[in-house]
Amino acid sequence: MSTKPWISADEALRERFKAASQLDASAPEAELPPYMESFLAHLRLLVGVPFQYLVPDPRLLPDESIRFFYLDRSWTDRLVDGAMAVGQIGTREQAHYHAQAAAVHGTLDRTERAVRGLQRRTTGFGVKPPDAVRDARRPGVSAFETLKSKEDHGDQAGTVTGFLLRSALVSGWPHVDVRAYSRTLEDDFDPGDPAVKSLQLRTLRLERLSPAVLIALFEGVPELVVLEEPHHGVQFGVRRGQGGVVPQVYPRRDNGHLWRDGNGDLPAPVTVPLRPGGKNVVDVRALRAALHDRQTPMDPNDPDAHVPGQLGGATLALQVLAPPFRQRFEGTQDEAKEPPPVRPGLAVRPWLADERLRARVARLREDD
Amino acid sequence: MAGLSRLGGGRDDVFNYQPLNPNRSPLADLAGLLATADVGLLGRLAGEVEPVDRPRPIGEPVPIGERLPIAEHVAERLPAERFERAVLAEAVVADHLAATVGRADRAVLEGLTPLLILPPRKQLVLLHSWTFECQEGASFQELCAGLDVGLFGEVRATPAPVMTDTGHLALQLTDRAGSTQLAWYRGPLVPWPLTRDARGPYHSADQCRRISPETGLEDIAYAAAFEVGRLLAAADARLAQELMRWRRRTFRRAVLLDVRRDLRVALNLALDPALIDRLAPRIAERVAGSLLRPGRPFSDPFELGITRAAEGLQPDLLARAWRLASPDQAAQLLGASRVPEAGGVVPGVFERPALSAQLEVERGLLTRLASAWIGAIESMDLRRER
Repeated sequence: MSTKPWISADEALRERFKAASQLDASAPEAELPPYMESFLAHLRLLVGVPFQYLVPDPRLLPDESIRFFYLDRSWTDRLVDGAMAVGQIGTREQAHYHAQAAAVHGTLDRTERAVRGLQRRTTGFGVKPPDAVRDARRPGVSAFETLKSKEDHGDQAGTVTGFLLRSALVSGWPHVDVRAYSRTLEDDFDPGDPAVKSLQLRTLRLERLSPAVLIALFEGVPELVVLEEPHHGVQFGVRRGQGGVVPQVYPRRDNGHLWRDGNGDLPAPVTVPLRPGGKNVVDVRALRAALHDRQTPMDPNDPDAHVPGQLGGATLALQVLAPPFRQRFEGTQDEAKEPPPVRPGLAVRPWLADERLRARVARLREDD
Repeated sequence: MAGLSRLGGGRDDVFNYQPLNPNRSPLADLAGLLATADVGLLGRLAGEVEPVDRPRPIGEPVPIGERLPIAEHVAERLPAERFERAVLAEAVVADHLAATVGRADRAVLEGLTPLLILPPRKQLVLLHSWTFECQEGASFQELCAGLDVGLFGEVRATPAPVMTDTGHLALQLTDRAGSTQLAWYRGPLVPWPLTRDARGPYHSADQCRRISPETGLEDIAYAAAFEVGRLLAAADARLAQELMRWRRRTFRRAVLLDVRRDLRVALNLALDPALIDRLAPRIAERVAGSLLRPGRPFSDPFELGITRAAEGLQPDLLARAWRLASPDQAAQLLGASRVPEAGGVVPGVFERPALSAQLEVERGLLTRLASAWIGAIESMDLRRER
């Protein structure tokens, strides 16, 4: 047995520099510092990445457009690799990161879920260091740690999807409500319903990149994405009918929901009377009278199918409710009938699928 | 101004209004009246509603056209004396009614014009009309309907950028040598799910460069991602510090563990010979003791018979080999004595109680020493030597 009676710290350090295997990733000392972990998790969700890198050509995101995408995980992994390359000046650091990389990526897969919570607490990325935000309920513990433990379900990160929206919608309605669901839902679903909530995908990021550009990232592949006008109290108003200039009001039940017949169709709307003068001013008195005329039961077989009988101020208000509009994106059909996208001139994908090419590449690799 | 005429042909001194509470404004009084179902009172002020005997419960629906009864107790609180002046503001009263009276009494408004009676010095600002211009030109719904919806990478503009169907865009790249060439770039947003590259980690941007064999051009997508990450991290001073601290911490910990392991190896080597030498007879002694205990069935559970059959332990053989006078002499040399219970010869070395006690002491010392050493190593902090 070879005897090594003693070893100096210098000697041990030199051995360590050469050793490919480093400290076990499960050791408490190998844990990422909170600031670093939070920074890398933000990076994972493209926080701070210049817009030109996301959209390298403005024609990819024209005005008044929405583009859905998958997030390329390899791309974000390379971002993290690049960040870890800071200060990697020799083989020692390389060997260290090589041994720790799997654990680092595994940690970030879970931590990235806490980023949105952090972004909502701070006024913006870089304004306050995230771990400086203290958790009021647990003194001595940063909000980051609380959020992380709350969002950490132990499962690995899955597919991340999202969309980029460049529109006057973003500048006009900065707090537009965005939700994604894993399944298609009814038209007038209630977002607060627990069954609906269970279908909602976790929003990883929702941020305005510029006054008119919004980015959203979801965990999972949605079948339904909803853009909803922000809720600012009760709104009243009338809308123009289909393709026309005449505003209309659809009758509502006394619970505020739109009245529908057995087939789910809306009854004929009440045309909103306007004052003379051509200035589009609603004649409120005449509107009230017109709604009063519609108080007769709409469906003789359905005793509940009528608008409320007493048409006081509150009932009139109920009838002219204008709840926030909800735009749905679902399926793959383009209902707007836009011109078809330009076909790219270079078709590479069929080549990639060509067996002969694959065989040639494989031979080249063998020759190496 | 219709209400004014109903009030009495243009008279401006109908009632002398006394505030219910001198500290409150008359407007607050009026709001209070409205809140306690007193459209009827207003009606009476306007000379439209006749008092009825039967008070109607508050909140009961009023058919259109029927006049509202007076709430007597409220009416009594207003002295029916002369007012200095009355001012009408129809819109404000209508708002108050909508806010406070509720659904039942909207109908009443059809039949009478409500009044707001103010002291002379109060002035009311009424937003009569206003104009504004909407520059966006569309509502939320219209903007949503006008959106161009598609997957990332769909281009409708002409001329379209040079792209492959994998979503790679041809860009001009200035390389290190300063020459310009075309290269493929694709951002992190792609129209299809992609497999995650499991060959990482990468340690430099050059490692991430790829040549596309189909086009002969370089694909710099991941190399660009690497550089973006590196530059963003380098721009954050605190991150760089944390990164260095993290590395230093793990290095030091790893070195400490290495040193401990090496020390253990060294200590074991120092202890081994002594322990082995001393423990062998101790174990043999325990085996013999358990065998010789009275009352046990005769057997050879510890294979002592085999040991005793060894040639070096046979007094007869020893006597012959060493040309001794008798086997007894050989047995004495072996240090044995006859044990009547077992009826056999046992080497005397097994029967040295004094040695055994000494062994116990020594072994205990050694164990304590070893554990003290290991404890010292474990609690040792590593300082780098200069």
